[in-house]
Amino acid sequence: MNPTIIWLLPLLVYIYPTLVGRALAVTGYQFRQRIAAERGSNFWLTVPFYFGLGTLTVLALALVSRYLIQDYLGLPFSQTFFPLVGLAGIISLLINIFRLAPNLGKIVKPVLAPVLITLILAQVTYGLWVYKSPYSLNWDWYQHQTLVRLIDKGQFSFFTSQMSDTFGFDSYPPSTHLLLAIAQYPERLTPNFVLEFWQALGFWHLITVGLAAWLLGWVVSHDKKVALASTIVSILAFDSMVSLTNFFFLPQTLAAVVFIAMLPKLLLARTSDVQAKTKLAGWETVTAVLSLSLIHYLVGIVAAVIFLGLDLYQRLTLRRPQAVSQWPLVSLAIAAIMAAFLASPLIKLEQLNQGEAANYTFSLGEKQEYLERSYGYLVYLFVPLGIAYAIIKKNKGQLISLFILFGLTALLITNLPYVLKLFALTKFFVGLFIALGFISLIEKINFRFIRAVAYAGLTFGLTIIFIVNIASWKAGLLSRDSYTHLGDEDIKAADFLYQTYQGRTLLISDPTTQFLLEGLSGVNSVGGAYMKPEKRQLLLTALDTQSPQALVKAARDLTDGLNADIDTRLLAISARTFIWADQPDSDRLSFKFNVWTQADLTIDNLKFLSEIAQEPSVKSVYSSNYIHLFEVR
Amino acid sequence: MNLIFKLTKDLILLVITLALVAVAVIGVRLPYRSVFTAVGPYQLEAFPTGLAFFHYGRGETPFYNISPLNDYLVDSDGNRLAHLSKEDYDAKNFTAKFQPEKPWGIVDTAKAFFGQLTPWFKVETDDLTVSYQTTRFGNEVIITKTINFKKPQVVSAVESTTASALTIWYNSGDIVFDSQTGQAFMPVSEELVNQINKTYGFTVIPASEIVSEPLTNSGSVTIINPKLPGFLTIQAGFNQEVLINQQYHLVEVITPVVGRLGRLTSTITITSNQKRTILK
Repeated sequence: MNPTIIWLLPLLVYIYPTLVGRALAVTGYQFRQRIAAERGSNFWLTVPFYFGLGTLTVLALALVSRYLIQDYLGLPFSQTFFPLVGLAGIISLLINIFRLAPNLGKIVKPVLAPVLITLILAQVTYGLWVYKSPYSLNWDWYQHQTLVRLIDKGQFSFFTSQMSDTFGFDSYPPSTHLLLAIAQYPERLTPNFVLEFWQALGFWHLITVGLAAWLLGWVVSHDKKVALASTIVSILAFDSMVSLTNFFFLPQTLAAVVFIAMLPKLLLARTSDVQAKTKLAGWETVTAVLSLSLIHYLVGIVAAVIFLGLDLYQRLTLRRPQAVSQWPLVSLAIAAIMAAFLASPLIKLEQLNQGEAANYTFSLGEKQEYLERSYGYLVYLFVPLGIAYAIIKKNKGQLISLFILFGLTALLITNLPYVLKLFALTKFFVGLFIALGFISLIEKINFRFIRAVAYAGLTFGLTIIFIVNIASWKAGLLSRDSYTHLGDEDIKAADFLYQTYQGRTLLISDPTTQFLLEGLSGVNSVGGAYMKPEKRQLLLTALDTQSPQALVKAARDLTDGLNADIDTRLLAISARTFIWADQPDSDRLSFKFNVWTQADLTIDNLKFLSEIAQEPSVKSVYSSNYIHLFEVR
Repeated sequence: MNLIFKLTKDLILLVITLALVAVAVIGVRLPYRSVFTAVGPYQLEAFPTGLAFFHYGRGETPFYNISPLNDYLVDSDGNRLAHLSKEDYDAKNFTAKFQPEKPWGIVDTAKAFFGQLTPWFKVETDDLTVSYQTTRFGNEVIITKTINFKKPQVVSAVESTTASALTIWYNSGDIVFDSQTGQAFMPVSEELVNQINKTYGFTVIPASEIVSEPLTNSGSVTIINPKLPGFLTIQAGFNQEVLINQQYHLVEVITPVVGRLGRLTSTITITSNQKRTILK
C-alpha cells in the first residue's frame, strides 16, 4: 500500500465512529433541533459525543454479530461484522452529506488556526520523538495488534482474556481494538504495514492531545492565549512514565483524550453566559458515561464518574441554585479522597494480573522524579500561579478544573497500583494550570511582540525539557545507532513467519521474542510477554541445562491455554532468549522485565543452536545472526 | 512617556516570565546514564574509573575498560608510573568527571542525544590531569588521551619519561590475536577457532602456550569473547607499538615520548563490528 495512504489510514479510527455517531444523532426524532444545535462552536463541542456514540455503535454491532448472529444463526463473526460496519459507514456518510451542519463555513473557520498551530507543534515534536526511532516505541501496541488481528480473523469476544492468552485478565474492553480493526480492514496485515500504521497513529494521537488541550483551555477561559499555552504544554510535556499520553495510542490514552474533549460542553452547559445556547442533552450524558467506561476500565471509568458527578452537580445547581452550596460537595469529595488515601495501604491490589500490579506501585519520591523529568520545575512554579489566578478570577470552569486537578492529584499520591495511569487525565489539567500561571504573568503585557517572545521562551524551555526527558526515556533503547525495540532482523523473522506460518501454528520462545513476533506476524504464541510463570519456568529449566533434548521436550509440552488445536510447533531461539535466561529469577519470571532491544547471537549461542539443529525431531526453518526458528515434531 | 512606561513594564514582566521558565528548565532531571554512544554492537560509556566498551541490557557481562588506573608512563629506567595509583584511588585522592552536571549538563544531554557529544572522562590528581576524549565515525572510535602536568617539580620528576601507555583491559576467556596474521596470544581450542572463523571470518592461529608480553607485528589487535557478540579491533598509530600484558589482561598501546614534558597526547582507534554469517 502507498505509504501516504498508510499514514492517513489511522484517521479512520477517529473519523468512522464520528460519522456513525453523528448520523445516528441527526436521524429520527427531533433531528432538526439537533442539527440546529450544531451552530457555531457547539458543533465541535458535540463531535466527541458523536465519536463516543459511534464507538458504542461499533461495539454493539460486534456484540450482535458475535453473541446473536454467530451463536444463534451460525454465521461467522467476520462475515457479519465487517459487512455491517461497511453498510453502516456508507449510510452514515450519506446521512452526513445530506444533513450537513448549518453554516459549515462558519463552523470550520474558527478551528483552522488551532488545527494549524497544533499540526505544526505536533509535527516538530513528533519529529524529535522519532529521531533515530524508525518504529513505534509504544511497547503495548504489539499486544493490542494481536487482538486486532484476531478480530480481523473473526475471533471476537467481549472478554479479551478469552481471545488471547497475552491478556492474563480482562483489563481492556475491546472497543478500541474494534476501531483499529475497522481502520485496518481489509488490508493484509504484514509486519511492515502494521509498523507503519502504528507509527502514523502515534502522530495523529498527538494531534488529538493538542486539540483536546486547546478545547479545554479555550472553554475555561474564552481566551485563545490560554488555549495556545495549554496546547504547547500538553504537546511538549511528555508524561514519560506509565501513562505515556502524548505519543502512545492506547485505550487509556484514548479515553483520556475523549474525556477532555467531552468536558468543555459539560462545563459550558447551562451555566455559561457566553454560550447560553449550550445544552448537554440526555443522550450526550449517557454516551459519555458508557463510551468512556467501555474504552478503558480504569481511566475511562474514573473519567465517567467525574463526568457524571459534574453533570449531576450542574443539574442540581441549575434547578435549586440556593439549595446546593459548593462547599458541602467539595468537603465531601475531599473527605472521600482523604479516606481513600488513608485506606489505600490497606487495599492489597498488588497481586492483580499475576503480580504485575506490584510493578505499577510507586513511591512519592519516584512520582516526584517522574514529574520533574516531564516538567522540570514548571509544575512547582507555574501551577500555584495558575491556581491563584483561577481563584482570583472566580471563573467557574477554572474552579471546576481545579477541583478535578486536586481530586486526581489526591488519587495519584496514593500508593495503589496503576494509579499513575490516571496521569493521562491529570496531565491536561496540569497543562491547563501551567498555562493559566503563564498567562497570569503575561496578560498585562501590552506589546504583542513581547508577548510572542514570552510564548517562544515557554516553547523553547519546554522543548529543552522534552529533549532531556526523551533522552532519559530512550537511554535503554540504543541498539547500534537507533533507539528502538525492534531491529531489522526482528522484522525479517516476522515477515518470514507471516508469509509461511498462519493458522494452527504455535510459536514458543522467551516472552519478549514471542510478544514481538506475535504482534508483528500474527502467529499465535504462548502468552507473549505475559507468559505465565509456570510456562516460563518450564522453558527456563531447559535453557539452564543447555540441553537441546530438554529444550525440544519443553517446546512440545508448552501449550496455549486457549487454543489446543495446533499442527505446527515453532521454537524460536533468539539472542533475547539467551539474555532473558541469563537474568536472575526475579527478572526472568517477572512481567516487568523485557529484553528491550534487539541483540546479536554470540559464538556460544550459535554453538548451542547448531546442537539443537542436529536433533532428529527438529527441522531448522530459518536462521539469522539474531534468531533461529525450528519446527518441532 | 506612557509608551516608555508600558514598554518597561512589559519588559520586566517578560524577564520575570523567562527567568521562571529558565529555573523550571534547570529543574529537569538528567538521564540516569552518562553520555554514551553505539560503536557497532558495543556501546561506549564513561564510568567512575574510566571509559568502557560493553553490551548494554545483557546484565553482568564482560566489558573493556580504558582507565587511568591502568595507563602509565615509562621512565628511562623502565619503571611504570600509573596515572592514578592504587593508593591514591583507595584514598580517593582524585576527582573524576565523566557525566553532565546541571546546568550545562542539560545542554550536554541534548548534544549527546543528537550525536554531537561522545563520552569523555577526566581525572585530576594533585600532580596531573588526564582526560580522555572520544570521536566516533560509524563503527570506529578514536580515543585521545591528554596528560597535563600541574606542577613544575612533577614535570622535572618525569622528565626522563620515554613512553606513555594507553591500555584496554580485557577479560579472562577473551581470545586476543593479531588482526592481520591471526596469531593468537593464548591457546584456543580447535572448536573455538572454527566457530570464530564461521561467525566472524577470522582465521585464528592458536598459541601453544600463554606468551608473556608479546608484541604485535601489525600494530592491530582483535579481541573476541565467546559470550558476547561482535569483536573489538584496536589499531595503533604508525609510531606506536602494541604490547599484550597477559599478567594484567591489558592491551597496551605504547607511544614514545620525544622532547620535554608538559602536555602529552596519545591516540588509538578502536573498531567494533559484527560480521554477519548465517549458520548452515
